[in-house]
Amino acid sequence: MTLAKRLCSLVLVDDTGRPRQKLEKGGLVADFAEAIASFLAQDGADEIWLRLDPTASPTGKGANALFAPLSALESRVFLPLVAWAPVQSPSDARLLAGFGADRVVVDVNGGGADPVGFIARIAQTVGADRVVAALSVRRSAGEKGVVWELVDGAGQGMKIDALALCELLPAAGACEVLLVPSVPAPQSDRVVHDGDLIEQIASRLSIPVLSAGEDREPADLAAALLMGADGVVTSLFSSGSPTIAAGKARLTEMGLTVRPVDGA
Amino acid sequence: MHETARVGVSAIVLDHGAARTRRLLAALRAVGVDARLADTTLAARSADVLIVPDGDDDDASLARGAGMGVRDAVAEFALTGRPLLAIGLGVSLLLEGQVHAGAPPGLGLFRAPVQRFDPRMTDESERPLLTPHVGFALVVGLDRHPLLASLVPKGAPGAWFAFRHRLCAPARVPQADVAVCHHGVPFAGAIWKDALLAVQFLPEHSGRIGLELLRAFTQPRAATPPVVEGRAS
Repeated sequence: MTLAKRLCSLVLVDDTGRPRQKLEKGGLVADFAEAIASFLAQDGADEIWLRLDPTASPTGKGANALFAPLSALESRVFLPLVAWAPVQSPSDARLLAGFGADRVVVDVNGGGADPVGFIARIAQTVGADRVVAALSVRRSAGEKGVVWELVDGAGQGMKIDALALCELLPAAGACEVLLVPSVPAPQSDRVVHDGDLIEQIASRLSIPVLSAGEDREPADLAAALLMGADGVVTSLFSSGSPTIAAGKARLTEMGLTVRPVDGA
Repeated sequence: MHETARVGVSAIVLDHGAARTRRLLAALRAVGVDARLADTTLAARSADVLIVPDGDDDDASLARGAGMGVRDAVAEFALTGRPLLAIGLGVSLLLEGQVHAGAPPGLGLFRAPVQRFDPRMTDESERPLLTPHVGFALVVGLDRHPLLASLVPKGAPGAWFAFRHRLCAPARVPQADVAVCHHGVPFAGAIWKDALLAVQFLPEHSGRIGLELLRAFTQPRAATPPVVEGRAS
């Protein structure tokens, strides 16, 4: 028996630390991040990811927006806590770890032309096994076939091969890779997990590979997990419907190993 | 979730220089333990329970703790027969050998070497073995521990706990009981002998079952007679 596939429940918060979406369960409505995270933990989430809404004001608090929810969660939710906010320097990452995050997501494109050096500097600052390197990528057809290119915050290609870059990230200190497709899939109106990319990267790396997408049903998660992702980062369960229990049951039916919801 | 502190139960979480303690302290307090952080032998002497926590597994972090009295504190406490819990990286301090050049040598309270997952290995799907080993994994055999048996549901093969580590102990440890986990090779998910318990997983990251483990292990009980041999000194 190896590791269970992870369902990482994403809670999106605004610049004041309040969640973008309420959660309803059993007639109760949760509208604070810590209350939502507690519900998700009880429902079977394997990790709680707090993300500052990428559309939040660029002149706002930045990483500081996660202070209140992380501080509250630290003593209420006993699962791994991951913080995802703009990290532009090692001090931003250290701030998030100091707020109580067990791991910090760092968008590699923040390093400009030197994404590996950027990750290395942050890993040296926040300690071993704390940095999740996030890659926003788009696929395109090149002369040698499909190419996955890193994109910047504005969605523009950076002419950096995502596959080649990934192979350098473990040595730089990243403990996990998070794949974030950046453009809608062909013949779709949403950004979905890129199974081909997941398969390519998972087969090359000895660190966990996670994937994020705009999921609408548990089958969307299965697509990523069956292609080799070790976990999925999703807001599918953040409203309380569907439940994580239902999602895990569906994944189990598909032959995937997940942690039982009761934690035992 | 938080309980009023249980009368008479105090735990010292030992800061060994590389320690990650905030979540652990919060988890202990959530189950009613009066938990405090300390880094001295003197403070450890006063505890009902001593906990050697997880920490950052790198040379710089471990070197910080090498010159401290942490090793002496653990060795001395183990001789009292009071409950001693090591978690994650803290387990390596109870084993034999040295994890990094800058780290203090293990105390040998469990006669097994600290070892690393071999990055050249592959898993069942021929994929490179994940290092670090991160996520929830099944631990089999914990139901043989006198205080922790109730954590394993009847009929279940084991219990699921959260891991994050690169170091581990072998699945066979002389003169100790072992609950086994598997990651390419079998390794010790938990090792225990008398009042000593070493868990490679992180109870403070394992949800409800992790809190139950902390509650069960810190329940008031009489000290068991010292069984630690001279090797700890």
